[in-house]
Amino acid sequence: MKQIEFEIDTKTGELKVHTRGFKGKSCLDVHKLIEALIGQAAETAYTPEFYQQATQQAKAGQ
Amino acid sequence: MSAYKKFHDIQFRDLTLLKQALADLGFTTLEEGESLGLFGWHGDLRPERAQLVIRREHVGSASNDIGFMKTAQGYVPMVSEFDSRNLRRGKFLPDLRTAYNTRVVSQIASKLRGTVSKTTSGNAIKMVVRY
Repeated sequence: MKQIEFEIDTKTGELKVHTRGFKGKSCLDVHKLIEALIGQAAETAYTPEFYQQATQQAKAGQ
Repeated sequence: MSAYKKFHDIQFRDLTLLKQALADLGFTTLEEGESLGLFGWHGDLRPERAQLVIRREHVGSASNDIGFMKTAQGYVPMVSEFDSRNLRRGKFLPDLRTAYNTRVVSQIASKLRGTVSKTTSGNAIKMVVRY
């Protein structure tokens, strides 16, 4: 199951988003959906899972 | 006279969600137009122009109009120094951003046909969308 965690700091109203359960770059579709409503993220960090599919594809091509 | 400040670092991209968020805070009477003038609490017309306005009589007894200026990045709030300090005990914009982002989460959940669970801990509202 895919999961999107939102955390709102009520002191400032700022929003943090963390996606879980996505393989490779599939989370980017959700990011686009969110950015359409809140604008471009001030900061983006990728977990190791984000790079996992790309690595596996590269190995398969060897 | 209380000067207006444009909060360019805050942009509300979706007008419908912005209006819903304003309604969540009790601001239900809004004016929309191409180039609406903003009036101070003395009834003085200010040079600023906005596309969405909360007239001062709907804000507070000593308040000025609150405006939102449409830009390529979204609607930018224009709030007087007085209202920035006093409206909602100085928390108007944080409260509006919180209400707007809460609406964003509901919108995302709806588009993904997911469920939302919400918890509050201190100053943090945590909402998890599962689908």
